[in-house]
Amino acid sequence: MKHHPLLLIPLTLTVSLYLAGCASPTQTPAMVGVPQLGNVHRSASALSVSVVGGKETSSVGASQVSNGDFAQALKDSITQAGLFSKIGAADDSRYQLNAFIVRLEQPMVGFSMSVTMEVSYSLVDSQAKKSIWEKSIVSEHTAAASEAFAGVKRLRLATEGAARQNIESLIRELSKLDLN
Amino acid sequence: MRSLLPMVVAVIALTLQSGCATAESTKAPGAELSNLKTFYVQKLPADGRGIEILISDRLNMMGFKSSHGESSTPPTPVDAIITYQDKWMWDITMYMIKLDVQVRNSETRVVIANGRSFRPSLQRLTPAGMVEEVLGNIFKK
Repeated sequence: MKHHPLLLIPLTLTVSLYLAGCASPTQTPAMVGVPQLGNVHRSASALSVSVVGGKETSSVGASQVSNGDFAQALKDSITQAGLFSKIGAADDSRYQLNAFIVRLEQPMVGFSMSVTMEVSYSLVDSQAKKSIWEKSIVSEHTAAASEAFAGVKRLRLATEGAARQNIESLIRELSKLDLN
Repeated sequence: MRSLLPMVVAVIALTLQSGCATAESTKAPGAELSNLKTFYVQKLPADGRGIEILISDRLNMMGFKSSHGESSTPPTPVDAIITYQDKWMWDITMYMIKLDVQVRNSETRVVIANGRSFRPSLQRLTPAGMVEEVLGNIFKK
């Protein structure tokens, strides 16, 4: 069977576009992570949350984690964990959590897709005006080929999983602190 | 069908490698880089191309004092530790498509600044050029 070369071009473009697809941003609810905590000390003070280093998702790129979405996932997770009295604004909160999204390592292609995320956190006591805790947390999550047919969706799932695990690790660390 | 496969592969490869070059850097809130004078570049275990040497040499050229090594702990106290991740692709020849660099607090290893350069095949730079671009962005006045 012979193909005319010109007939192969639309087919090839269709296949490549189908494989590439359009990237969608990570979803906040999928990044919310609340680990099982035992009896831990819970602060009676409010906490504010600030995030830098995130990126918006372009439809032709890979799924990214934006500052706003990650901040909301942090707020929702910390609220559900109940570690602070409330999440408030910076002006009326005793503590401020700063999160710096340092890197998001994503594969370009693959069946199982693994994403590594590093976030540097610091907790600042606004009254004492000093950082009382700092840590860089690295997390990784793999989305198996069976989880989604489209590569862009697997990449988004892996990215959301890495963010969720990062937040869970943060909450475990915060639960060890003895805060007022 | 034999004629179909190379074309499919070529178009998929072009799709995946397309895009524009980007270079960006971010500082942690309150981070002050002007106080940093001495650095230690920690070699990425998987790096067999000596990128840690390029980074360290570039820092020395920029007027800082830098050393490099495989240990995660610097042999002598420094103001900051530099870590990096390089990603390579093949297009006729191997080239560095992405370089991430982090500046870390030497005690807590928390990242105080980072920089990234992404350069697809048609906009490729030499590894030394990528290093220069990233460090230039991180330490720009």
